[in-house]
Amino acid sequence: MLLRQQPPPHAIFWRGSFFREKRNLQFRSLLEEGGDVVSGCGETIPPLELPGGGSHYHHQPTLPTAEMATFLTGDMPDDPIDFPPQSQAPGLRDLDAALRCSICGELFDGPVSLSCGHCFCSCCVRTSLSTKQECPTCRKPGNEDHIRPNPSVEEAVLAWKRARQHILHLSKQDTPASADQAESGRPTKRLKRTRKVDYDSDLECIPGPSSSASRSASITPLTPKRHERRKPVSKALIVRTPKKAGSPIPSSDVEESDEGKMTSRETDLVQCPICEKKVIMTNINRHMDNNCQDANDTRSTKSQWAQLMGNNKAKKNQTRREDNDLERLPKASYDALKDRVLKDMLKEHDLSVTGDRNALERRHQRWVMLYNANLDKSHVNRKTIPELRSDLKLWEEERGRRKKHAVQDIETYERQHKYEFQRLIEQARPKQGTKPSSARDDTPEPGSDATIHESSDVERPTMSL
Amino acid sequence: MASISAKRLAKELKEIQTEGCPVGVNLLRADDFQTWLFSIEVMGESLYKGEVQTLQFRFDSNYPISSPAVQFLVRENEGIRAPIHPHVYSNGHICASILGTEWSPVLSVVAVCVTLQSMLASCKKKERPVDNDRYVLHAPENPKKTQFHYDDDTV
Repeated sequence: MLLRQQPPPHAIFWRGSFFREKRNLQFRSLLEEGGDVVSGCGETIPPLELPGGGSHYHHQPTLPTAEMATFLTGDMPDDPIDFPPQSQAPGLRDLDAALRCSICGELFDGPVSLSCGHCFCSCCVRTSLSTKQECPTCRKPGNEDHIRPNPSVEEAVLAWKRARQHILHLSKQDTPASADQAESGRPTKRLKRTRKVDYDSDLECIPGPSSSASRSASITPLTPKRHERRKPVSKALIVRTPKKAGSPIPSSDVEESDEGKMTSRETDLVQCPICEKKVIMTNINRHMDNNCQDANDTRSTKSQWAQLMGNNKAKKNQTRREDNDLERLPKASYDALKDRVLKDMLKEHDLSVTGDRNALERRHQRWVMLYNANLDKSHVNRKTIPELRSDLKLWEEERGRRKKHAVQDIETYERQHKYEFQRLIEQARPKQGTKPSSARDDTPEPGSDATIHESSDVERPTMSL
Repeated sequence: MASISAKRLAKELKEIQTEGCPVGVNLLRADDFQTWLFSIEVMGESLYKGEVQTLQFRFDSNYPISSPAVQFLVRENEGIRAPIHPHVYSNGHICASILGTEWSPVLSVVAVCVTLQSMLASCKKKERPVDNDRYVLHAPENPKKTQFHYDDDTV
């Protein structure tokens, strides 16, 4: 079975998102056919029992670190693979993956695009650009000046965040019966076929009583339907456009009513539960966030009509003005700055001025990055300055904790790595020639070990696995 | 709040555990977010047929912005050696651009495994790098501290 496999595609061209790119590999298609290529672990196997491949290398299982422990006991990060696989819920994983930053793997946080068009979280790409001035995905040269906010993606992410739980729930509700079948491999085809029937019929989008039939149909078509719906420019167009090449009966009425519902939902006036004023549905959250004091409270009926007709000029101008309220911070060239000036710059933003020169520089650098990345978000999604300050603090604590970890418990560390030290000492001996080593011959003192450790390594040394 | 590197590694690990590794790659050990071990084996016809290598990944807190330290595991006393390859030193260090200057944060652990697998698969002649002895004598423990000069772009 394994011999059929060809060697993987040539390596140097391996680029792109780590979620999407892998789909091209053969193993994935084999997986979905239910093949047994996967040496790895199914969802049921706990992460620590690593099966397969271990035959030639034995190791003593160590206790997971605190971080790993939190990872193992729930608090799992959300992922595209939360959704059922392609065979059961077409497009859902892809949709979730498409809205994720390929650097951090999270749903986009303040999405921005570079000049090549690739999209990342503002903070991620700024960090990446500070180490290397190119697009992480396509390696086209780029720098911070090329960063452009991507509000459409931001909106999409926001909507998806709201919908995600719901859709996840629906898809999970649907799968238990079919999941077992899928596991055994074969009957997925039958499943697909029944799906297809639903897919072509027009009944699927009508919300009905939650009978099992309508429930099973409710997940799959969601994505394609939406996509379809977004395309037409006006209602008139929809009526004329035949729905889909594949569908036997064009059913414009369903589509149309659906469309109508949507537009009315977006522009509907709803009563604010606090001030009881009528507010446009899409603005209600902002309205309530602003303590019921709308900036465009006093707008004329004309502008209200303009809003209804989709002419958001007034709104756009307003957001642009808000954007300009906050200027992006310039990057500093730290080499040219004296300590005092640097401290003043930190004080200016109420940041701490403790620590050595390096710490100050890093703190300021990170602050500028966080601050500017925050401005790439749309006004409603921005964090407040105090929130940013606590983010910076968290980041510094995180770094501090890691560093400290390396020197912390010297004694246990020494005990654990005793053989490693001995081996290193053995190795070093011939090199030192005749001069050495009365001190080295003795059992190493804790102090000396610590110095070896500190000087030789940035992370935790891991030689004695 | 878990750090970005831990979150990202947790995602990768979760994906490996639910989706499995590519053919010929197996996760041996991932007890923490500092060190992971993989076994890699070249599938099909190649000079390394039947050989299983152990690949060690070490991550620092800047992952994925900074590359992981990747090397073949070498334990002479347990019979674990680095594969003989023009870009692999006998201490396990690998001279590959994507582990150094060409690293990109969108790459992942699995991507690196597949790259190295294909590096082995495309090997024409089993030999050590020309400067192997000189390098190994003075090599730093962490391969990331070596400045490699990448001259061969055919592999």
